[in-house]
Amino acid sequence: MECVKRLLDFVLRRHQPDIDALSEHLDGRLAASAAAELQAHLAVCADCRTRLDGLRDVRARLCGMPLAEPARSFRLSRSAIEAARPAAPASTFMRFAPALSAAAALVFAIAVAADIYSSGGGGTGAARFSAQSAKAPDTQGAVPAPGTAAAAAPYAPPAGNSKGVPVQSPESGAATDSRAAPVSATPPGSSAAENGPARESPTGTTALLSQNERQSNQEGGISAGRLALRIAEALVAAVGIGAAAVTVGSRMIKRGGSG
Amino acid sequence: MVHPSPEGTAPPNEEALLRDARRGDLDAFNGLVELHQRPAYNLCLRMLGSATAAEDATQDAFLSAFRHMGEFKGASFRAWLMRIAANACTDELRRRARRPVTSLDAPAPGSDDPPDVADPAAGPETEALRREEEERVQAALLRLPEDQRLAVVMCDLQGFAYEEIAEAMRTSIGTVKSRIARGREKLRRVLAPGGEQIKDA
Repeated sequence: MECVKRLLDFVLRRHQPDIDALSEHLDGRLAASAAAELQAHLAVCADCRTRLDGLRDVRARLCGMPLAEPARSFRLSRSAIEAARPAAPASTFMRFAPALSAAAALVFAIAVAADIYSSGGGGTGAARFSAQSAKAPDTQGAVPAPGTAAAAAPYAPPAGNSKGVPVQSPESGAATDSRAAPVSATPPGSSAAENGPARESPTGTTALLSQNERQSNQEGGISAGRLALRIAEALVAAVGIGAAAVTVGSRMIKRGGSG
Repeated sequence: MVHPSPEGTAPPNEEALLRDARRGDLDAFNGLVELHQRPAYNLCLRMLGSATAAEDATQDAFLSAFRHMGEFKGASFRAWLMRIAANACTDELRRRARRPVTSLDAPAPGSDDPPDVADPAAGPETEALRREEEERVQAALLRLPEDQRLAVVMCDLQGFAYEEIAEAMRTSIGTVKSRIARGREKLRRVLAPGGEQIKDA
């Protein structure tokens, strides 16, 4: 009766052998009841017998694969462990130190350049002087007008004065005036005259006043701003030097460790 | 649950070695290397099909194992080690997949430096046949998905129990059984005479 029931089961069931069960059976890991069921099925199912034989053959071939002897030993040496040490535990700062030092150097260079540009009057003075000489070709040639530099940036070195060049030279007057008031309002010639000690002309006084005002304002503003700039420069330089030192140091340690 | 090692010689003092190696004792760890390097290397060899790649992967695996000794808390050190070795093989296979197909480094399955397992007692003809059979099975193994390959290699080539394979693969025994079964079934079709031909371009 049991056999008939099993037979019916297997005839009616989808005729796809359970590979897992066949494979497990080969390893002797099928539970007793399941093994008995499988045996009963194999008795009536040629497909499954064929399949089981195929699997058995494969398993035998796999088991027949020789165990290879490695050509060398895999014992570890201290140096191999050190050489293979991953750089992963490095801190975020260490990872970005090279980039940070480069960025700091760039920022520092820009800050210094800006500082020189604003204080030296080198670029500005020369540019203004060339514009000036174009306007008045007959004035003193090679020496940049000290007055211009002084007006543009109060911290300019007093090189011009020590050379004995009059501060209130006609060009400088023209230059300050042209900056203080629109050029169109005052022709260069007249402004040069007004720039003397006695400034009767209301335009001239206004120009002088505004110039003085601005100069004093700039002096106050710049000294505070300059201080901030200096502090920023020093900070950036310190960060850059620190990052560079850490980078170089870690490289040296690494080289020493591996070598 | 203690399974005899494939060589049949149970490691006498693995516990002591493990205890010391966990404290960073390199000599103790090298004792473990001596005990397990053969199965580890063979696992890599069958996973990768190349002796040189297997040597590199095995060395990587032992380095990684030494570094992570403190994390070993499982029942079987061998299973833990096999897991690390399998991971080293996965890394190598990924590297290989990224490389262009025309790369000279990418070994043809099974044809690259076959392992030297010559039996001195066998004649040259027997030896040639044995080598041919080994290459055929190895090539078929390389056609399996990685998880099936690992399960079949550990079960049939290295004689690991389902439980240890499950521990190494961090999966259930049911999944292990299924991977082994599907792997064997695919190998049967590939290795059958006139069966699935190896479709190499």
